[in-house]
Amino acid sequence: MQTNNQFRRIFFVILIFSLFPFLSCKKYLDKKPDSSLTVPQTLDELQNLFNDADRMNFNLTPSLGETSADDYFLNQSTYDRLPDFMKNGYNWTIKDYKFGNDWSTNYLPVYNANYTLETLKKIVKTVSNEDQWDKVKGYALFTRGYSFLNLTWDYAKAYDETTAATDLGIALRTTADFNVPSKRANVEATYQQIIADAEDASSLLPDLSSNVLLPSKAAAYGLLARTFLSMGKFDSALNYSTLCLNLKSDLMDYNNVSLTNNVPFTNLDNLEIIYDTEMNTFNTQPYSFSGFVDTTLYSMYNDSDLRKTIYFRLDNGYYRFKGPYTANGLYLFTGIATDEIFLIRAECYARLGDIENAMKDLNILMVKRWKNTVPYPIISTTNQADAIKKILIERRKELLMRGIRWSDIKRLNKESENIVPTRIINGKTFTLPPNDNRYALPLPIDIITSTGMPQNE
Amino acid sequence: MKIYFTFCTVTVLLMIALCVPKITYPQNKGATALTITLRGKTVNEKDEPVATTITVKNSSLATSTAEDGSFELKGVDANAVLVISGVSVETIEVPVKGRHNVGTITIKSKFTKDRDIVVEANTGYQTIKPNELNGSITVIDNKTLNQQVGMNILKRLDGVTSGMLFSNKANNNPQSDLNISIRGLSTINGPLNPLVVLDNFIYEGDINNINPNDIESVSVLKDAAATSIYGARGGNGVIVITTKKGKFKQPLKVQFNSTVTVAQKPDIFYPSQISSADYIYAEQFAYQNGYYDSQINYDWYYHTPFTPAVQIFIDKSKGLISTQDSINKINLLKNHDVRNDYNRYFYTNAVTQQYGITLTGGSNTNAYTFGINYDRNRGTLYDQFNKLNIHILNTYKPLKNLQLAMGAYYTNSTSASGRPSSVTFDSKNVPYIQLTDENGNPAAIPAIYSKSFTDTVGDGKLLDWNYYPLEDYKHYKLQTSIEELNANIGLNYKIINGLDLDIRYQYERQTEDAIRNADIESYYTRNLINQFSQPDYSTGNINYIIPDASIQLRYNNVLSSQNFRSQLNFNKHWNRNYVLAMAGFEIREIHNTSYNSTLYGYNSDPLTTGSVDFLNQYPTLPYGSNTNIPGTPYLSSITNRYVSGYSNASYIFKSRYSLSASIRKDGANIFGVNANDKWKPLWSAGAGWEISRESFYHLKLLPYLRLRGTFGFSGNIDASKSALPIANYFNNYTTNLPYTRIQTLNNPDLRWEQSRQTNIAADFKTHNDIINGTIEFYWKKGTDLYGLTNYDYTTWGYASEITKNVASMSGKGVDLILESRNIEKKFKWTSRLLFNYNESKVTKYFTTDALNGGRIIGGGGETITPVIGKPLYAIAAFKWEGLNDQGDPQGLLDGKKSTDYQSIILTVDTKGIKDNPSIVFIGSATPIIFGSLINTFFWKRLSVSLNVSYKLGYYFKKTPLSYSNLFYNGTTTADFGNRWQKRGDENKTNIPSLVYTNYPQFSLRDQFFTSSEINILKADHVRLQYVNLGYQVKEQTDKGMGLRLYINISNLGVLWRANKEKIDPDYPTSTPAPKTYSIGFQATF
Repeated sequence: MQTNNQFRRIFFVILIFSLFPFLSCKKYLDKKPDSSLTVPQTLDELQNLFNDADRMNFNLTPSLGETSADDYFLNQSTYDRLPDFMKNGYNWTIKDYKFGNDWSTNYLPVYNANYTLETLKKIVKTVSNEDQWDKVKGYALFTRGYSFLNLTWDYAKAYDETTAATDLGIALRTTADFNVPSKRANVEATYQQIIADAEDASSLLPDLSSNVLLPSKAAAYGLLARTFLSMGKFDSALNYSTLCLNLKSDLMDYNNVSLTNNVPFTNLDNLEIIYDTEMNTFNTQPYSFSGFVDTTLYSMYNDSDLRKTIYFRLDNGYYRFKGPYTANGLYLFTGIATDEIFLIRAECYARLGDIENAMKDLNILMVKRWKNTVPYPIISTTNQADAIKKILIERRKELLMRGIRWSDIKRLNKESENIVPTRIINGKTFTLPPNDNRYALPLPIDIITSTGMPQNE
Repeated sequence: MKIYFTFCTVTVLLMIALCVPKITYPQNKGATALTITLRGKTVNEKDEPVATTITVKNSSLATSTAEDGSFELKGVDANAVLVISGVSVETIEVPVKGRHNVGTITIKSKFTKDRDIVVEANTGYQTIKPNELNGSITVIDNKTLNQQVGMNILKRLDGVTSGMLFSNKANNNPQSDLNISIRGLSTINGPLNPLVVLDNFIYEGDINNINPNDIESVSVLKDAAATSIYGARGGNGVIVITTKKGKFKQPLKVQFNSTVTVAQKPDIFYPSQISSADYIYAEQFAYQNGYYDSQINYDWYYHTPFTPAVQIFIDKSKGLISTQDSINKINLLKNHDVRNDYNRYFYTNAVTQQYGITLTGGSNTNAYTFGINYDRNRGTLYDQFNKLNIHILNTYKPLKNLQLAMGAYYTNSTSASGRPSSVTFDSKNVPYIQLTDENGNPAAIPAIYSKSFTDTVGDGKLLDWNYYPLEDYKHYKLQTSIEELNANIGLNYKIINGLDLDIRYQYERQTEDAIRNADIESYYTRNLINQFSQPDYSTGNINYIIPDASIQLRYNNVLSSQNFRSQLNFNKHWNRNYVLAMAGFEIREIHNTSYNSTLYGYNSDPLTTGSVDFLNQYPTLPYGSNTNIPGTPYLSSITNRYVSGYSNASYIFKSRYSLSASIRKDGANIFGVNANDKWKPLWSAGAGWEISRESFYHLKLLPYLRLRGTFGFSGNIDASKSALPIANYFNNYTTNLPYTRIQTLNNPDLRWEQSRQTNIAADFKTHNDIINGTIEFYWKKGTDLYGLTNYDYTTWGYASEITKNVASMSGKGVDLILESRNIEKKFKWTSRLLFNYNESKVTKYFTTDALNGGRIIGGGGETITPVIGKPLYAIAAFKWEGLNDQGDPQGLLDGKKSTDYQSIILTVDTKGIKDNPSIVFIGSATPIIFGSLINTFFWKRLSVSLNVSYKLGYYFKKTPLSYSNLFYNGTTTADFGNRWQKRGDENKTNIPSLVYTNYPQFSLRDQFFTSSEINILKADHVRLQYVNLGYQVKEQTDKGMGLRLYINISNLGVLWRANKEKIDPDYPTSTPAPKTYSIGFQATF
């Protein structure tokens, strides 16, 4: 009897004991550890990836190209105190730089784009989410194409139809899986990918976006215009610049801009910006802080040209650039703006022989840059070469420090412009002859070691 | 793996083999008819079975008791007298008087004052007697804990705990901040902190909340068998802290303790620093080379302030002061060392007062503990720290089978910031900065912007933009208060004899409130207001975007944890068998919320706050860039949940053979991990054999010898690692749109780390207990260890490294504890020697050397070595070939001396670091041998303890001279004075010549030198850890009061070191812990 009782007691306790283990253990452990964490799965979460301006717009686009370009120079004492890698960037001898560079910042938006495109495949497109679904896909495709073009401008040679199939392009990453190794595509395939991404994006995006940090159809057309111009395909570039200007063609009248302000463009979404990106600062310190504008370039501005006052500040006999569209004196604007698109279209018209329309576009822009207290001298010519020359001069004067000059030097040297960037250091002259191999900037050394991809020579 | 199984099998077979002959032990054939078979049992005063030896007086007949205290003796003369003796009991004689059963004999426990008080090991799940233990657990008793007097319980383990290594390496990982490693490391990139357990449950609060005065003992679990019961979190070892507890049937005992500690001002002259004269020399050199030209000419852009010496050079060149004036001024600066000012104005001797009272006692049905402790501390920088602890524990026995315990541990601490430790000038450490002006008034320092800018901007209408180091700390104060409550309730129900159910619940809540008051006088506030001020130059008015008033920054963190545990304990003796088993499960939730906010326009009386616009950007002075006002409120909430099931069983036969095993399965809500991966089973097994109980054992030298061995697995998890891409939600300041940002790259192949450990140990005692000790050998094998590895960042671009299960390691070691009684007369001398050997090496690394080499070259051994066969934390450096006749450092390139630093450094990327002649592997960065020797001397009532600790077989990096640092950051070391200056100096010095930044490969030359082997020094050293002097004024008796006085001196410094540069290897860069002097007393009544 006593043992019986004891057994009952044991049985009872063990029963209770074994009942405890929570019937919904799985549910208990499914609680999110950090309420601000998520694995982006929904359309909203994917869309929000593109709202991350710090990664997708600011401190982003390549700076090594601008560093290598000829819009600025350094005085000797500034050069002397620079760290070695910045000195090497200035005289085109950079070799072994590592992480924290143009390559890394520009492949980050590519990851977000690829992740979004892969996740979108798991989200069913319905009547109710169709608009957002398309828009998010458009964001992703645009972002990828935009980053690829920027990388191409840094790391590939200028587009040349005869060698594009063999020239080294960039790594065309189209998946977020890091187990897929990166390989360098050729220049032809690189441009085809950019065009495909931008064209697909243009069919999905809204005409204009709610703010200039997000892609739009106008931005996609602008990207296509840039791409075709840098390929020397002027008919397509003309087509896309027209489509872009049909959506947005506002220009600022510089007569309304402060002449004295150190930060002349104080509004991030000024009239001209279609899509905003800013240059990263890995290499820009020498010229955005203490570099001077190339004296020949400065001398090309007319005294009645408002840009001469708004863009520059005199400093001990030389001039410093202070006119980026970034609303922040410290970062350089590299996005797409209507002034650039007008200049692209003007150049395309000129190259295709339509001098009249070329001059028309050029004047539309230039009248907004001219002091309204003096009569505007209309720019005109009937000679195609002269028209191209006039447009290219204004292009350089309008678009300096925008991350465009480096690719312009490359492509214009293909058109036999014979631009030879020159540096004078310690009385010694360094030059970079046209079509030199160094125009395709070296890839980061850690990327070469980890992927085995071929380095630029 | 195979070896371990073989080992286990052999052990088991051996045990069986030894059992068999024992069972057929020949009976006493010569027994006469008068002999009887006698049974009995021995217990102590608490009715607990005790191990004794029963001998028949004047005969060779003897036996020893089984686990339950029972014994059986055959062939005993009916009139014989039994002599019962044992290690822990008084010897008594019991006449048989013809009885067949002498019944239960109560034997008085032997109470020796200094030793032999056997402290049971507490694993947090059960308490185990040392002789029943197969695993490796070091127990630090109350007496040893009290040899050191600090306020931090863990620090008191330093130098007295076998296998435990303390380091002072700076560490930013909050999961590794204790800087303690047990038996070397078993993880690379995972959390390094050992698990801290306070009274049965994992302790999540601040370790400083626990008052050492409340602690009875600490058990350190070292091997896998001991830690596997903590499953996935036990991989780094476990520290189990047990508080003082009252016992049933114990009269009231009051313990009062008071200590006053004085710590000297730290030796701030210890870290190597360039002299003021040399610093000015270097500034002049840079000035003459045009280093400051841009800042001088383009002040409108830079607004950077010039240091006083540079300002003098500029003024002189502009003709503002005469040459003679400038020389005089410079000479004044050359003779000034700001560290004297720091000593005078900022530092003081620290004083700590500690008071504590503990009451313990118990009746038949109730046991209680009550304690109050109060600590008051003023630090060396006048910082304050006060702490109150209240500790209550009550245990009731309302029914015979039921025991109920309720306890609470409450802590309330407050701290306040003191004075700054140093002052920077435009973030440079300028050695000649003056904190007072010519009249002895607090000096103004242009901290960020040049004087010419701050004097003119805003037409003088802005707030003063200077920084006053001697005033600022009065206006910029941080006050922190921490309140913690740790409450628990436990229920123990005895179901039947030997089986009981234990249910415990614990609730812990720690609230931390930090308030930084930056009043309007503080530089922080004035600077922020000025930056956002909009001067209207036509009217002279200032438009304030940030209210012209004080700012308060608030931080609040609430940590709460809940633990529930239900456990069945089984404990049974029968015949010669003893089974000790338990099984249970626990649920645990830790919830952490924190909140950050900034109050602008703050006024304490009347209490008002202003408001600011966090959303829009405003142009800021001096550059005009548009910025948001800092301090948008920030909120975070983190919940971690764990569910675990566990079981542990041991079987002991004839008190000499034991087998034990444990298993545990953990589940956790790790985010982004598939449910299947959330569970991780871990197990261990062990065996023990008290060989000295065997009849064939005849070693007179070692009358006690016990062998034991264990094998098992423990793990390590890091909740921040994930298999899915994890994003955070944020709000964009510029667009005010919500955004998600992927912060952790998806890493589907990620697994948990696993650590395997084998432990073989022997416990021994020599004749008369003159020497006793334990020697343990262990082998560790870590697999799937996390490691940062370079990867193709084309994929993601955010980081150049990701965490992967990259490496495997193996480690081996020896822990030896020897205690000896050297002299035992009126004058007594005892020694305790701790010797630890630990060596680990990388056995697998899944990425190429070339990629990871750069990470370890020239480091101080902070990163795991990616080279197979090398120590886990090795120091590698560039081969050093001396200076050339130009004072340039030389390395080795293609077999020749070279100054082509770029090519030498490039070999790291192209050739890797193994078999690269340009690189040398120097050795381990962690001590291979370490330990301490504690000698204690007693004479009458006086005792003196000295602890000498040693660390051997490793290397460290000294702070090298760096010209890049000198020019770009404004700091470098005193080696500047020993630099190469003229031809021939290369034979006397290894410090390169001073060159300007325009020197070819300037930064690479610097990088080469700072990473070369010349800056790596041998770290071996011996240190006098503490001296403790005690005087027992009065022994405690049953009625009277006991009183003990003590004096303790700690951090006495290095006795011997291998390096000739007089650097303390424990403090290669920072100031060593100051010497402390304590005096106190302990009264018991």
